[in-house]
Amino acid sequence: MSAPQAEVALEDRIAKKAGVPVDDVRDVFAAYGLPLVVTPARARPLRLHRLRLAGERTGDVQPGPFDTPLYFSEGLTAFVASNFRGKSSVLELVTWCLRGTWRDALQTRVRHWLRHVDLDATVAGTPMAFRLDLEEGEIVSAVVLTGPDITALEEVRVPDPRRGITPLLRAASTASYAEQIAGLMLGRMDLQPLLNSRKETSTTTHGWPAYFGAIYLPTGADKPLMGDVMTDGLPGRLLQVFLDLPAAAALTRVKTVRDVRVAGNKARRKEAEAAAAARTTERNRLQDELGKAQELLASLSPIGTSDVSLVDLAHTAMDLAQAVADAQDVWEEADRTFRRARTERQHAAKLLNDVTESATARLLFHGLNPTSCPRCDQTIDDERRREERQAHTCAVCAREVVGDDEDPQAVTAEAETRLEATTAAEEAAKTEREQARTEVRRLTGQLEEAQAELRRAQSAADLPARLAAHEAVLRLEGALSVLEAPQETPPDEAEEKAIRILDAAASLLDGDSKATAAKLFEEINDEIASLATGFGVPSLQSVSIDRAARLKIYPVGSAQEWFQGQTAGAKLRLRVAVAIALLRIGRRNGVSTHPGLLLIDSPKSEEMQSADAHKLFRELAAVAADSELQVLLTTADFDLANATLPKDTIRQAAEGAPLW
Amino acid sequence: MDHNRAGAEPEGPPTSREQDAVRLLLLIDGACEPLSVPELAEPVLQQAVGVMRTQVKLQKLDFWLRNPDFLANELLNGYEATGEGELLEHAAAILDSEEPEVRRYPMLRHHFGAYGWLDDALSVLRSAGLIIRQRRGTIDRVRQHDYYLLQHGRQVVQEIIREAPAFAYYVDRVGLVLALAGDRRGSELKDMQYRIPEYAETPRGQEIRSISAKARGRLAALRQELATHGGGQV
Repeated sequence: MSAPQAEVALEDRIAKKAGVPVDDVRDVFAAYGLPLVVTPARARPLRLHRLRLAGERTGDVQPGPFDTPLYFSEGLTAFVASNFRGKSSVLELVTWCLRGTWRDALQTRVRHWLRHVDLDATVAGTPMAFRLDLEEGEIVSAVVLTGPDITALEEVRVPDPRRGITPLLRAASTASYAEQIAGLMLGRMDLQPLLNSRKETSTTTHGWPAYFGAIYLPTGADKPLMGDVMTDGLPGRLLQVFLDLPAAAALTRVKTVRDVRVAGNKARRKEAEAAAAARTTERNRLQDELGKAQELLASLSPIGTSDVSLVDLAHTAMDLAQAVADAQDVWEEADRTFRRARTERQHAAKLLNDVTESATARLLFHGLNPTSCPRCDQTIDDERRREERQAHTCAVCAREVVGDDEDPQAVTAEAETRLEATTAAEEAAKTEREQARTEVRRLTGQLEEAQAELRRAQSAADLPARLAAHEAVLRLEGALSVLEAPQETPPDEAEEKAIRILDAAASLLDGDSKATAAKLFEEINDEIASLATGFGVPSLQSVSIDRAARLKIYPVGSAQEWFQGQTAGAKLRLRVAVAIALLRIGRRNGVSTHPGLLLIDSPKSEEMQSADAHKLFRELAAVAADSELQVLLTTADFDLANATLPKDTIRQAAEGAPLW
Repeated sequence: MDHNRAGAEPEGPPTSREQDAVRLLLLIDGACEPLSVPELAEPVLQQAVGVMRTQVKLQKLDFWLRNPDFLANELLNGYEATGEGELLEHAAAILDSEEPEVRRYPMLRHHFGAYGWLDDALSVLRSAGLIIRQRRGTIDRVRQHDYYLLQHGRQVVQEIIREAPAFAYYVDRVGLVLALAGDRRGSELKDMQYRIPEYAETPRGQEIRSISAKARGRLAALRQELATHGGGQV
C-alpha cells in the first residue's frame, strides 16, 4: 500500500468518488494541510542507553550524596530491589525525561533528592542526551543535546559544538520542559497530534503524552488495552498509529476536518434561515405600511370634481345656506303662529267648558228654590218665595228680579263658534308650519350635498398632503422592491463540494484502512493468542482485536469475554502480548511503527500467580532477545528474577539497599 | 255671567260662581263622612247625611281638581313610591291630553297653601239647601269649618251625575282625587303639595304657576326608563 502509484492515485480516486476535478481535491486538502500523498510512517524506535541519577539522599536508607549511572540492555533490563528502593523511580524518571512529565507514582521525596537526571537515548535513530538540573524537585535548567553517536554524549551535560554536540532544546522550568519535549518528540517520532472532533464544533488534541501511554504499560485494573486514556477512542488510535494502518492518521484528520466543516455549514445555514425569517418579517411590515399609505393616498384623491369651479361651489353652498336660514325663519314664524293658534283654541275650548258648565249649573241652581239665607242661615219663608214668584222680588234679598239679560244658548253658541274658528286657525297654522318644515328639510338636504361636494372639491387643495402620501407610497414600494422576497437559501456550493470531497476522502481512506486491517488483524490475533498463552493467560483459544482496540477473548470451552472483564494480571499479560504482536507482525509486513520500548512496573504485584510470573518473565526475556524490543521491568522478587532472567539483564541491589 | 275673558290673560276669579258650586258639591259629596253622635243630636243637622271636615282639606282637594298638572305630578310621585302601573296610566292620560291647558283654573298661594274664595259658591249651595256650613271654635278664632251635606244636596249630586254630562269630567276627576288623597287629613295634603318647589316658592298672594312641562318631562323619563329596563308599555 505504500507503493507510490497507489498514493498518487488517491487524489484521483477522491476526485472521482466526489465527482469533482482533481484540482478541487488538491485545494481542499491544501487548505487544511492534509496530506494527499500518504507516505509510510518512518520507523520510530526508542532505545534507552544510560540513566544517571545524582543528588543527595535523606532519610534512613543510605543517606548522603549519590551519583549512579544505570545502563540499559538492548533487550530486557530488569531492576530488582526491595520495595521502596528506587525501582519504580527509575521508570518514572525515564518517563519524565522522555515524556516531559512524570506520573503520579514518582514520589515528591525522591524528586527532592535529585540534582541531576541524565538520560541517554536514541530517538528514531537520533542520539539524544536529556540533561535535567533540579532544585526542590523542579527543573531549573534542562537541555536536550544531540551528537554524532550515543557514546559520545555520555558524561556531556552542555553543548560542545567542536565535538558536534548541539542543543535541541533548552528549558528553564518544569512546565517549559514538558511543553518543549512534547513538541520535540512528536517531530522526531514523526507523529501527528491525535485530533478529535468534539460535539462536531471543536477539536481536542492529544499530544505526545497520549502516545507515551503505549510505551509505559498501565497496571491499573480498569485501564484500556492501549495507552492510559480511555476517552475519544484513543486506544484505537494508538493501535492504528503503531500498526501504521494505511493513512490512519490522515483518515483521522480528514474525518475531524469534515465533522467540523459539516457542523459549520449547518450553523451557517441556520443563520441564513434566521436572516431570511427576519427579512420576511421586514417585508411584511413594509407591505403593511404600503397598504396604509395607499389607503391614505386614495382618501386624499379628488373624485371627478376637478372641472367644477371651487368658487362656484362655494357660492352655491353660501346661497343654499342663506336659503336654509330664510326657510328656518319662515318655519319659526309658522311655528310661533301655530303655537299662538293652539293657545287660542285651548282658550276657546276652556271658555266653552266654562260657559257650558256655568250655564248648566245656573240652570240647575235656578231650578232650586232658595231654602236658607246664606248669610244668616235662616229659612226662607213661604211668603218670600210667593213674592218672588208673583212680584218678581228675590226670595233672599227682596230686590226686583229683572231676569236673565243674556241668553245662555247664545253665549254657548258663541263660545262654540269661537272654538270652531280657533280650531280651524290652528289647523291652518299647523299645515303652514308643516310646509315650512318640509322646505327647511329640503333646503338643508341640498345644502349638505353642496357642502359635501365642496369638501370633495377642497380635497384638490390638499395637494401637498397628497404629494406627501404619494411619496410615501413610492418610497415604500421602492423599499419593498429592494428587499426581495427571501428565497430558499442557495446551498453554498463550494462548501458542499468541500464536504463532499472530505466525505469521499474519509470513505476511501477508511476503506483502504479496513481492507488492510482485516488481513493484518488476522495475523495479529494469532500472534496475541500465542504470546498470551506463552505468558500464562489460561485456556485461551483465540482472540480478536478490532480497530478500536477492543479485544475479544475466546477461552477454551466457554463464552466469549472482553478484555475489560479480565483480571489485572491477565490484562497486563494481554497488553504485553498486544505490544509485542504489533511489533512482530508490523515488522513482518513492513509497517512496524511501535517504538519497541516497553516499561513494565512490578508485574508480579498485579495479582499474578508465581507460576504465571515465571512464564511471563521467561517469555519476555526470550521475546526481547529476538524482537528488537527493549523492555524495562521492575520486580522486588529476587528469586523470580534470578530464576527466569539472564544474568546480564538484571540490575540488582542488595536486599534492603537502594538501587541507586 | 262673567265669561268675557277669552283670549285675554285670566284676571279676577277664573271660574264662575255656579261652576265652583257644582265642583265643590261633588267634592263634598265624595269626601264626606258620617256625622258624629253629638252632631246627630243637633236639630239643625236633622237633614244632614254626611260631613266633610276642614276648609284646608277642601282647598287642597280642590287644588288638584283645578290643576291637572299638579295632580298628574302627584300621581307620578305615587307611581315612583309604589310602582303601581295604574297611577302611571292616570298621569299619562292627563299629561298626554290638553287637560293641563284646558282644565286648569289657577289658585293663589295663601298662608296655608293654595286658596280660592269659596264663600260665594258655598252660599249658593247653602241657600239652595244643599249643604250647611258650620264654623267651630271661639268667636275670635275659627278653628275649623265643617261642611254638612244635606239630603237634598245628595239628591242634586245624583241628578248631576245622571243628567248633566257637562260635569262628567268633574265626577270622574273627583273620584281620582279622592282616591289619591286617601285618608290623609287636610294638613297632610298641604304638606304633600308643599314638597313641590314651584308651589312652595310661589310668593304669597300670587298665582301658583303651571308645572305641566316639568310633569311631562318626568313622564317621558319614566317611559324611557321602562323601555330600557323592560317593563310594560305605558
